[in-house]
Amino acid sequence: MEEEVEEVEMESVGEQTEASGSIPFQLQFDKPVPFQVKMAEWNPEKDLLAIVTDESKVLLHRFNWQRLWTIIPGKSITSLCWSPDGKLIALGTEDGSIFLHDVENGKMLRSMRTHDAAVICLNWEEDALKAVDRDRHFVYEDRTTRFFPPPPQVPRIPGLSDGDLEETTQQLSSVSCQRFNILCSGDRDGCICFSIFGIFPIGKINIHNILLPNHLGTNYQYQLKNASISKVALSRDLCRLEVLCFGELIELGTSPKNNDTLVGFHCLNLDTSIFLNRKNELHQVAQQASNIEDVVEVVRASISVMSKQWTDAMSLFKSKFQAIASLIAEHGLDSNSQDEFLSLLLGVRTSPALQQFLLNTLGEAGVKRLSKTVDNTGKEVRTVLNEHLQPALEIIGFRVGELRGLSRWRARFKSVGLDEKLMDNVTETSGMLLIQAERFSRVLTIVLFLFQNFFNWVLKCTKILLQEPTDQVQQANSELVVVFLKFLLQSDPVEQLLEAKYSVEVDMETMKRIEQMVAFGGYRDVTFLEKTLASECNKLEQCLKEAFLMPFTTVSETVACKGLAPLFPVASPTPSTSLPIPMSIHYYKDEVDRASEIDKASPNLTDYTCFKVLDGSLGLKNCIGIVRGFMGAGLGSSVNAEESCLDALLVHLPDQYDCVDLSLYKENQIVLLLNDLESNSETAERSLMVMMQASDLPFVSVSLSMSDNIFLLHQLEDSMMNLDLDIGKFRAIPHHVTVPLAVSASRGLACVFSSQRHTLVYILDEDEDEVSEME
Amino acid sequence: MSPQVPQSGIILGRYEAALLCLGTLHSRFGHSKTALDALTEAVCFSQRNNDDACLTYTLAAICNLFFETGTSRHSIGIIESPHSLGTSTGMGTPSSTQQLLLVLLKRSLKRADSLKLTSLSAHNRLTLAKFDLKHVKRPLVSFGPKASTNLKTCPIDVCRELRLSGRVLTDFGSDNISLLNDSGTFSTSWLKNLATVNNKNMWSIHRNDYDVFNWYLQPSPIPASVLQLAGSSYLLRSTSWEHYGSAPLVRVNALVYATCFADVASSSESSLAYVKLIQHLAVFKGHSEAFSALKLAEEKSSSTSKFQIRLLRLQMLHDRALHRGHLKLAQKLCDDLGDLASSGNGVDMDLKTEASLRQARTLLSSNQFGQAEAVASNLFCSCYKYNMQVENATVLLLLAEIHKKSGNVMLGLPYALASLSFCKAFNLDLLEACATLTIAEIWLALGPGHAKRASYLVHKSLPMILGHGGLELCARANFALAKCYLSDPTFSIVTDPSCVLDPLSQAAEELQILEYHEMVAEAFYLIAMVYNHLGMVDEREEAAASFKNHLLSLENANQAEDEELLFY
Repeated sequence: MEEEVEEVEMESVGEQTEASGSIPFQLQFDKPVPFQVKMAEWNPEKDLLAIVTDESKVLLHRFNWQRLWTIIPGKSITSLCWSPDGKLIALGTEDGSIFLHDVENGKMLRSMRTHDAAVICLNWEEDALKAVDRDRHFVYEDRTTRFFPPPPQVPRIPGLSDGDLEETTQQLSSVSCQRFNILCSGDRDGCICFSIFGIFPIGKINIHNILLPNHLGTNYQYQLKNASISKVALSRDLCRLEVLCFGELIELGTSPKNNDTLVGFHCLNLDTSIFLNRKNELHQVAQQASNIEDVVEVVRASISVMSKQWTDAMSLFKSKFQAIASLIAEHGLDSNSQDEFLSLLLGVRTSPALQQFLLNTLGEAGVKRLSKTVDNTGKEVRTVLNEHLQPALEIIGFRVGELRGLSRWRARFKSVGLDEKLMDNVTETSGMLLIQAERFSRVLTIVLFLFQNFFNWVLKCTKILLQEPTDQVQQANSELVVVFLKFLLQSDPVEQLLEAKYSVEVDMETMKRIEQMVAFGGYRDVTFLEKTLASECNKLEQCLKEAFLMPFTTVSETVACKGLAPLFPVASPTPSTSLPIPMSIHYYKDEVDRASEIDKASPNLTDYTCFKVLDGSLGLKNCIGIVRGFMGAGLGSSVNAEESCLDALLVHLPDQYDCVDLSLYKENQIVLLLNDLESNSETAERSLMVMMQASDLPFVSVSLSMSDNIFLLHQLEDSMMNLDLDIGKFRAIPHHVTVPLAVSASRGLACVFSSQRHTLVYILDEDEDEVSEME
Repeated sequence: MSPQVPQSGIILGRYEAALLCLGTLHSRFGHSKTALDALTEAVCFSQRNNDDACLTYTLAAICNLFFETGTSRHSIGIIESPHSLGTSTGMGTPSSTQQLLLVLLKRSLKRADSLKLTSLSAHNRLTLAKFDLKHVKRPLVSFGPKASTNLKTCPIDVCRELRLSGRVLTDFGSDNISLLNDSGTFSTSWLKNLATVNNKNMWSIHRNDYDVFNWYLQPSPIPASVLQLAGSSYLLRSTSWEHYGSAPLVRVNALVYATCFADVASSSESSLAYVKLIQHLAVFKGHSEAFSALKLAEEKSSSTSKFQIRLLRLQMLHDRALHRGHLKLAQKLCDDLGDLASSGNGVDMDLKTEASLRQARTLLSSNQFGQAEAVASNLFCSCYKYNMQVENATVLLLLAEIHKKSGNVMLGLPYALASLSFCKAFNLDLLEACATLTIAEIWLALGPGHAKRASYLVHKSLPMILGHGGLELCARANFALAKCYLSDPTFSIVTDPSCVLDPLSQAAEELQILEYHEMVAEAFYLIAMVYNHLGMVDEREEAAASFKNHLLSLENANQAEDEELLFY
């Protein structure tokens, strides 16, 4: 591996000397790729590049192009992003699901269906800034790890060895909850979802329902129609969300007369300050809740595994013992198997049917085999009960208790929607489930004991009929055989408890006891023992869903739009929605003078939005737009619409070049990927990679309150700047390039894909360049 | 619970089994020394006869003996007796009862596991869990400056042991021994059940009788001893959560016991479950609900469990008397409790500690600080002597309270901090939150300059207190929170009155349920002052009226108390 890297570097150095010495970006390597690449994203922490191909395969490559793994999710992938710690990959799909995959092995850890339409964009942001609020700087402790061993995992079905999925889900909820982060996703139908740690859904907004504020000097408010989200970007302090979307802007209260002019790309500034202000509370709730959901999954799976194993064993038992009925009929007897066994037990007679059954149909070996099967199944069910179900319920009880405690802190947790009543409800249900599990364990033990006893008796009878000695057979209790014949030969109380469809008959004595318990603080719902284990588990899931829906809706309601900037109109809406246009949003630490305007909680952050203007919009061609400070605009001075202005610039690219992709890069740079349209197969330079210092560009201050020209770019047409290739650094690339351009700010790398299926990795950073050369 | 006499022991050799029985009986009747003599001899003979089962049972019996007498005066003599059972204290360090107990317990457990004596192994695990609950784990190897000197109990071990001991139920029948042990009890109960059903005319050998006859009514073939062991694990869980601080789990585990094991429970254990439930009610729902539940429990309880219920009654009456300000009654109840602690059966150290604690608390309420301190200090000394660390934390906290109330606020701080570190070591989270709250109150008392620090501490303790603390504790925390804001010079009541009024009214509400007149009056006083400041006259008058009412009922306490005394 090491050698390969060296070889590559030597190759690249050679290439550079061959070309001119002033070429800025050093080529690290050039490798063929056997597929068309759709998306690519560098890991924020390590030198790993995740690639999605046109066939929606996902590959993970190392910096030295060694491939770590390939997965085929089986669905069309529409978006890709890394978790902030670089340990997870989030994939958005065509059908609205989001998958989380482990970076180590590519295993899917979680799949969530939060959207109804294709997930176009994902953004996963960690809270990078420390909260300075004085009374919030203590951390909540999750006590569970101190009092409990690691939670049980989903039990395996014996015979299947695919147990890797479970091992990692557990890691997901316990490890990924270290620092507060939010995964934000936008879909084609205009919905934006938020989830804490990528696993706990905490909000969903539909931008069609959001009232857009009015910077435009009129009293009307706006709404978007037919919108689809193109890009979302949370600020690093999580309190702002910038949304780029395509849609039709309509004025409320006016007749739709000039709507066609308002179709286009818009930029929204959403206020998500609850993520900053209630960070600790949300963190705590999400951490407990996602852990609870994981463990509830274990409970559910345990019940189904037990049910499966038990019914398998019982159907075997029934199929074997069914033979008696037919034998009885053959012998023309008017009785049933129960009576026949009873008369055998009571020593009245051994009917020929039963004799034939015991000696020929079942046989001694058959009894032993059946006894062994039931015994083993019993052991397995017991293991699941002891090692999975009961510990899981215990942990649920504890965690729910913690959440209930938090819900009682109304001053803090009411605002994130943790409801005391609903949590009380969950607490009660989880307690009832614990009682249910204890009852189940008792019923199971009794039933297994009865089975064991019954088989011993049958074996003994068989031996007697065979006139063999019976001293090797264990003694059987006759009363228990009667109980077995009466209650277990025809029915199955264990199965009844494991299936949700039954209801359990509770005897008077127990009922009375439970009614008495109410006075001692027992459960008010005295009929809970009539439910089965499975239906109580369903109820718990239902209660949890209700309880966690409250934070979800509460947080969703707090998200409001603070600013609107219509960027540019699009004449025909059809092509733009299907073809993603290159755009990039980045938040930079900014110079001091701008920082003073912005809210104190988010110091020194300025947003840059860079996008390609669709050809033909406003008669422009081959242009890119850059907007700066939109998220800051209207924040400090939202009352005064006059002052809400921002910096923007329209850059016209030389006509021979076509902008393929663009990306914002660390220290206020913009990296452009341009294809040379005039080149042909003989030309050496067929495309260009250009890097510009964005802060040096001649931005124009634009007011958002101009009423006659709604679209921002209208105001910029006059001050359009022609891109002079001399102002930035550029490098020629000897291939036609395609999307995507993947830049890595942490490592200073850019990965470019050529249309001839080549991957080229360039080093963007001069300093690092020198270091690597010295090495 | 004493281990059953092993059946297999009788087969191999009867002498050691007889010795074991003798020892068990001796320890049952409180003759620890003779019991130990018999048990030691049983160990010798079992070893000589290679009777592993009997040896295991004997070891468990010795553990029981140590555990029950471990903290009392008598045990000192026993441990120093020459019978050190091979674990001779030749290492120079005084091997405490606890260490000896742990070694024996682990040995017995290992043997029980290897011999597949499931009931004994479950029993040993329960004892081990009880032990681990208060046992500080010392790191085995600790060298150098970086070695962790963090001494803590290990709750995960307790949890593991309890889970394993609960398996005795599901493991029943998996070992073939249990089948052999049919003593006929099941057949008897089955016949009895049959007879009752026959009387009801429900049993008939017809095909459809399954529909009328419930199989859950069948007598359980599982022996009661096994079920009792399984149930004890839930009771112990409940106790452990009282220590660790999780109110819902205390209640749920007691409820599981009362619901699922009521039919087989021994009377003392089932009344223990009821005691836990009623205590939970008293702390979270107030006195009236708890007393009505207590009445029900008294009707149910048998003569053997009377003691526990009577104790509970005294405790609850004492709490109520303190809240209502009936100090004479409280004093009388304390004396009764003290009598109960040293009854004819020997001194119950736990009970004695509790009686002294309550004594100190009563003195504190009647502002006799010097005496209260003397009682508490005495108590601390005896707890220290008998290694009752968990109780130490409580006593230290009480000492801090006494100093805080007596005016020597600064003197209280070291006590509170000491209590805090005890709580940390023993994972007593609720008590830790309580100590944090006390420290916050101490800072508050030191002047407005410390309000910020106090506020931080109160906030830190709030999640724990609101989640798992009772009405009184929650009210105290809310009260402290409001006071923090009020004494913070940078805080302006006009801009955000709700952040003072909400906790105050919450506290007043909780204290009213407890009939804690003194503190309710204080809360209403503060509420009235805040409204006055805000210029809201009507609300002010309302709060002032409530203040007056509660003050009056506090003054009338003497009169009501005389009635109570008569009634009592």
